[in-house]
Parts: sequence; structure tokens; C-alpha cells
Amino acid sequence: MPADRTPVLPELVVPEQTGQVHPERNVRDSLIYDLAPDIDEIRQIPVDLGLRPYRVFMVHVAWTGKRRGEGQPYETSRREILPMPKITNMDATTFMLRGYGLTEEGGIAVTDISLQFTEDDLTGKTPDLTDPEVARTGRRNAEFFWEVVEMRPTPPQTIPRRYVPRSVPNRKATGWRIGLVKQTGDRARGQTFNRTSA
Amino acid sequence: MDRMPRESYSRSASQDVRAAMGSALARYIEGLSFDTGDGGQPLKFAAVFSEWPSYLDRNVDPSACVLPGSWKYGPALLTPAFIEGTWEPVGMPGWGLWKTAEAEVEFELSLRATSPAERERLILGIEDAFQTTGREVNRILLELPTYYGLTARYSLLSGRVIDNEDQAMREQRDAVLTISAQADKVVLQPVTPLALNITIKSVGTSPS
Repeated sequence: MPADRTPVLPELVVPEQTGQVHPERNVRDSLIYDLAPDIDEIRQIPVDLGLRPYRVFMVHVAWTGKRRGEGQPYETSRREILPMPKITNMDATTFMLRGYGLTEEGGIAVTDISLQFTEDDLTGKTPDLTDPEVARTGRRNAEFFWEVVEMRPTPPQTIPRRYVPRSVPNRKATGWRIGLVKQTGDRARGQTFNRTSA
Repeated sequence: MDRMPRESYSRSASQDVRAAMGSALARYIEGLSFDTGDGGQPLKFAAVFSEWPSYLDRNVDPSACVLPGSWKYGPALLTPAFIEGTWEPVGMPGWGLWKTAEAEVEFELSLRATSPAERERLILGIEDAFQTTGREVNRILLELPTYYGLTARYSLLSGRVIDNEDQAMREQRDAVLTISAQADKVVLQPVTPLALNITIKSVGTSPS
């Protein structure tokens, strides 16, 4: 009498032998990536209706000195996440009264991020991590962060809030989701970094 | 001769001695400029609070706070100690400050920067700011405008940098410096001039 786990049909235990199951061979040709432009068009509908009040940017800044905080900062790249993603828990960024004044702490989750972005994009490892000629995240004088800016119909301009990823981006069926944590060092209203070509 | 009314005395106090020392320290720190090392615009604190801030005091980095520490009063004096230079009007029945004890406070200057480099520059600047110019001593003198215009002495005692995995992630680069301060605790009391009368008496002579 055979043991309990002895298969009658070996292909049921090793299904890949049949050739019917296998990893995705070409991600770009998959249905979801075929539909990605259409999904983005659908995402644009709530944006056009004014239901997405926050613009979200990924920013690289370099300093003129040898490390962060030395010299003057200048922006080397700024990429907006389009279509505008969804932030459902802005109130998870809370006020804390510290000895230095009222600070903002906590974090948010950004969802419905287009599949055109990659994990490296979202964590600041692109456009270039290592090129020594370009000040990017691989250098000690460069920094990467996200900025979330509320759109409002009346002045004054809002204060851009600064975050960094606190979790590995999670690729859901039709888009990315990522958790961000609040950083200090928000720009003042209307303040810009010196723009230079990277 | 009538005594000058107390209200006419030019010195006054609107804070206790500890709070006055804290306010003077905060004003001094707020007025400091820190060299950026690259010839750029000097770095300054956006705000220095002399007490725990309130809801409307939004944080703008770099900022600092003079946190109220513990304080103590020195031993009681056996004899009254009048502070020279505080008698008004001089030589007339008036008012003056009498020292009753010496108050000693340990302030914690808590500061927040947004990068280690910025924090290092701030600490370096504060270290330099507590050396009396031309005298190589770790002490400065500051006037206490809210406490009779007296003078307090300040010196750096210790410091520590506060870094951990969470604060580094948030770029909250904090440091705490402990500063010792001493000033006279005084009381405003009447001052009465001593009337010195000299009487000469001749002994052993008889009138002619």
C-alpha cells in the first residue's frame, strides 16, 4: 500500500511540469499594463471633478557643501505624481506641541499611484542613484523627499508638507500604495529652492 | 526730610529672578548669528522660546527653547547686604536693593535643527557665544531688564546630542545644552542715610 503522500499523478504535485503555470513572462505585455493608460484616464475623472485636493511631488535636493545641511540647497529634480493620487488620511499627520513650537508628526498613505512609476521612482532611487557627475541620492549632499501641497482656490499659498517613505511601496492591482512619514524642514509659503539643471 | 515715593524708583521687576534669567538668555540666543562656513547668509534661530510654547507658536526650524530647570537659593545672609549703585536718590532718604540670597538656575537650552551639519554649526556658535570677548573664560554677563536691571552670570555646563532611529528618519536633529546662571535675589527696601554728628567736648579746662 502506498504511503499517504505518494502521488498517483506526479504532474499534480509539480504542476509547472505541465507548462500551464509559470511566472509572468513579459510584464509589459500583461493585461494590467495594457490597461494602465486607460486606468490613468479613469483616475483623471475624480481629479477633474475636484475630488483630489492634494498635489504630490517627488523632490531631489542637493547641497553645495559636502553633505546635507552644508552650503545652500538647490533642487535637482521635481516630478509630480500624475494623475493626482489619493490621500485618505491626511489627519494622521498630527500636531504635537514641543519645546520648539507646534510640530507636525505622524504619516499618511498615498494610494492610486499610476503604474507608470516604479518602486525605485517612489523611493527616490531614480533618476540616478550613482552617477558621480549628478547630485542624486547616492551622494551625501543629496536628499530625497515627497512634498504634499493642498490645492486651494484662495491665497495665501499652502505650506508644502515634507514626507519620506516609511514603507516599501505596495503594488496593488491597478496602482501603487505607499506610506509616508512626516519630516521637519517644510519650505515656507512660496519659498523655492534655487533651480539648476541637474 | 520726606522719603522719595516708591513709585519714583527707577528700577522695577516684572518677573521673578529665575524667569528674568530665562528671558534674558532666550533673547541673547535669539540674537546670535551663526556662520554657515560658505560665505552665505548667516544662520539664525527662527525662534527661541523662553518658556514652553503655545498652540499658536508653529515650529520653524531651527528653533530653540530655554526650558525651565530647577533652581535654588543660596544660604541666607547673616547681615543685610546693600547693593551699591542702587540707592535712589543717592545720599537722601529713598530706596535701594538689598540682596537676600543668590539664585542659581540650571537652564536646558533645547534646540532643533534639520541636519547634523546645521546642528553642529549651531552648537559651535553657542559655544563661542559663551566666551567673554577678550577674556578667555567660559562665562558671560547679561543684563536682566525685567528684574531691576541687575546682571546675571551664565556659563555652559554640559550638552548632549539626541539622535535615534526615529528622529533621524524625520530629520529631527536635536541637542540639549545645560547652562548655569546665577543672579542676586533682591528686595526693594527703604534706605536711610546715616547722619554723622561730631561733637567736640573739651575736658579739664575751666572757663576763664
